[in-house]
Amino acid sequence: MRVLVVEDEAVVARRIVRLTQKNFAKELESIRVVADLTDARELVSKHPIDLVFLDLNLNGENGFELLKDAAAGAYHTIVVSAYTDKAIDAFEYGVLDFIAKPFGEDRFVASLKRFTQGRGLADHNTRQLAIAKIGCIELVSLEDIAWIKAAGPYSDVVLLDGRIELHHKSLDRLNQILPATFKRIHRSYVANMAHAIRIHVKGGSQYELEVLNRKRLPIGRSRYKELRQWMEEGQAMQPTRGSASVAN
Amino acid sequence: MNLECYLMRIRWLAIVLACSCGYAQIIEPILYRTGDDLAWAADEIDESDWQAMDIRDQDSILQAFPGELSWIRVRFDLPADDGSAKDLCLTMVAAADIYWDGRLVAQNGRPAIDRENEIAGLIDRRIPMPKNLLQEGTHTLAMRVSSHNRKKNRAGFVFYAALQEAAQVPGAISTPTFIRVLAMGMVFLAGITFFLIYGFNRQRSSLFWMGTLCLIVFALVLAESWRSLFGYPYPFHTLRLLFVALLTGLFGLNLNLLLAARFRFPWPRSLLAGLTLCFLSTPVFSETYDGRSMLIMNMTLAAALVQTIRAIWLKRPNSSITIIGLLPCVALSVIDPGGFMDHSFFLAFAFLLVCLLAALAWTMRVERLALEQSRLDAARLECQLLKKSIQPHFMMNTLTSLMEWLEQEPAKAALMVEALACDIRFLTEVSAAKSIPIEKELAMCRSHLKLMAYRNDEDYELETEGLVEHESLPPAIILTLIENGISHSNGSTGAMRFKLMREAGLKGRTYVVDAPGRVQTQEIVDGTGIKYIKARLQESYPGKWLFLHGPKLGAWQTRIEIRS
Repeated sequence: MRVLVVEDEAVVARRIVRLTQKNFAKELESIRVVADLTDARELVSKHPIDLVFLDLNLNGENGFELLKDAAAGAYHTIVVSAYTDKAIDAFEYGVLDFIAKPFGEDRFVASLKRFTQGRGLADHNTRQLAIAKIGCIELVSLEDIAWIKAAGPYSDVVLLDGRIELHHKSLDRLNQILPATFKRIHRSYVANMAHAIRIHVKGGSQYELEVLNRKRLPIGRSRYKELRQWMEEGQAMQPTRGSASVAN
Repeated sequence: MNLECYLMRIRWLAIVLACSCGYAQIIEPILYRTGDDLAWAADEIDESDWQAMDIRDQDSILQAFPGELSWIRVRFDLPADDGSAKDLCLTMVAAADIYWDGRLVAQNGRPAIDRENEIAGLIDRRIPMPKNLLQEGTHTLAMRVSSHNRKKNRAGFVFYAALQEAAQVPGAISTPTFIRVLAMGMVFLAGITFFLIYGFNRQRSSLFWMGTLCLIVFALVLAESWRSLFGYPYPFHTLRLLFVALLTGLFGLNLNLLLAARFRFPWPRSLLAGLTLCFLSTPVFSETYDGRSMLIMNMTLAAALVQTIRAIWLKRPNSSITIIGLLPCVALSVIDPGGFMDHSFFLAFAFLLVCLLAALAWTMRVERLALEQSRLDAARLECQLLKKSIQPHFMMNTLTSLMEWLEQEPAKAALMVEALACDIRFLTEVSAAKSIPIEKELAMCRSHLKLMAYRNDEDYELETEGLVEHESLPPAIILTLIENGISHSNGSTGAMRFKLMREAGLKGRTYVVDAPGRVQTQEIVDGTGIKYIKARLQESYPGKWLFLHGPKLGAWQTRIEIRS
């Protein structure tokens, strides 16, 4: 685990470092501290980072620009901020967690465990994905996403209109911040179940999920049972009666 | 001939004589003769030695009334009796025995050969005439007069003789007098009202000067009306006219000073001196008090007009309504210079007073709104200051640091709690104040730096130079600059040194704050801190401050200039 702390309050930064080292000594590979975002950007571009603790003074004009910037990165972001009222906004941009200042050790450890154990929040509030493009960050609404496919260390985000956008986060990391409508159906696929139509069963224990435009995505064998159960419980959106069903 | 009209015109020339004949025709010439002979009272005498008095000629009138005992004969041509009772109305600055067709009908004082024996007569005398003396035809009014108590050249001379309808009710006052009495009541009440309001609003001196203006006009109307209201022996005539002239002068000074103050002109002293000089110079131009009063009034109006036009030119508030109030005064005094003081002035002044009042009411409204605004601003600033210090960024970061010290070095945490308490205590003390002594501001800064030292685990220092004891400043101004400096310090190494300097200048003082560190961002430059400082400066020194900042020698320098 390679951690970067972006915090201009020396004592607070020291606290984050201390608590991380104390509780996650095994996982911790490196931890660096920078005081501002310029230094942070430079560091992130030079060294691979897994997790950023970001102190955002979100009351400033460009608070959300910075947040978008962080959300588009390959790393996970945990916002550590005094402005609790901005937590909901931060979650919408797809941060892993929001720690309100002042924070005790328990709260800090719980947050960091979300990262180390690969669990997101039970119901994550992410609404849009920040996607880094040349010179800008584009926000893509989750509703417009059909599915997401692993692409090495990155992910291909496939939109309803057929466009494919590259996200710098791995599929595993994206999965951690996506809400419950997004299901991991395969080692390499996460589908937006709001747009799923039915499951096709092929011979030899092969399964496929039909989504919009008659596209079919492979379903991992180990995940089929859980997915089928989830669909039968009717939690998926049902555009027409019986459309989200299992077809032989 | 229209003698009323003539009377008005000739008054401007200073010496006035008028013979009027509301009912009867006067047959000219009017004859006079110095000396004394009771036979001269008779209807028919030899008038060959008598001189004719030309009422248009000053010298002729002065010769006719030299002061010593003399006689005047006036002939009336009476029409047929119309059945109504008649009064013989006489006005003269003299004592007189009055004969009608050779019969003594009345005595006004007692004319005499010398001053000791003379008893002054009333200036105005109304003599009811028996009907049998007023038959159709020619009648002779002969008067034995002396005016030893007259000062020849000061009062001018007034002679007026007429037969008029008898007064319906003896002692009833005429319509013009009634209007004057009404005006008197108005301005008196207005004056008292101004004084009462001033009594409870001492800071508004214009109320006081409006009050004095009203009372001066009251006295002026009273002096003008005294003759028709109460009458008096003729020697007091000069005194009354002197009073009128003096009161006119006071009115002129008061009105012009009031306008100068209202329009915030910088010349009240020179105005006072100049006008007084002008007023004192009037005897050069006019021999009589009436003429001088008229000149003083004209100078007053001219000065007021010039001031108001200047105010309009400079777009001073209330200048338009003032000129509207002045115009009737100016117009009437130009159209009817003779009658202005006697008749129209009081009405014109009433109009001017209404306009001045309207202007005052408007000014009070503007000031009240400004006061309300400033109270709102003060409350907003207090709120801003308190909010600034309990804002999440400050408070929550402080608490987070505190938590860290608690867990790591509890002793230091205790000190930090003390520093935080001190910081908050200072803030609650000063937040409502408009200004605080510099010592308090410094103590606040030091307390805050102590807190920030614990919070950021850094060393901060504050140096001062040239500060003047007990000098006051709006609260938390220097503190805000230091806060900005700290949030921009960017983790420098070693102690952060702030410097506060006071530079005395010719026009005021300047506070200079040097904060270490690099250039401050636009966010800080436009931030709430700087807005707070500017709002506080505007509150305490409206329009007299300057806020400058920028990088200087590796530091961020802020200059606050306050002009005195």
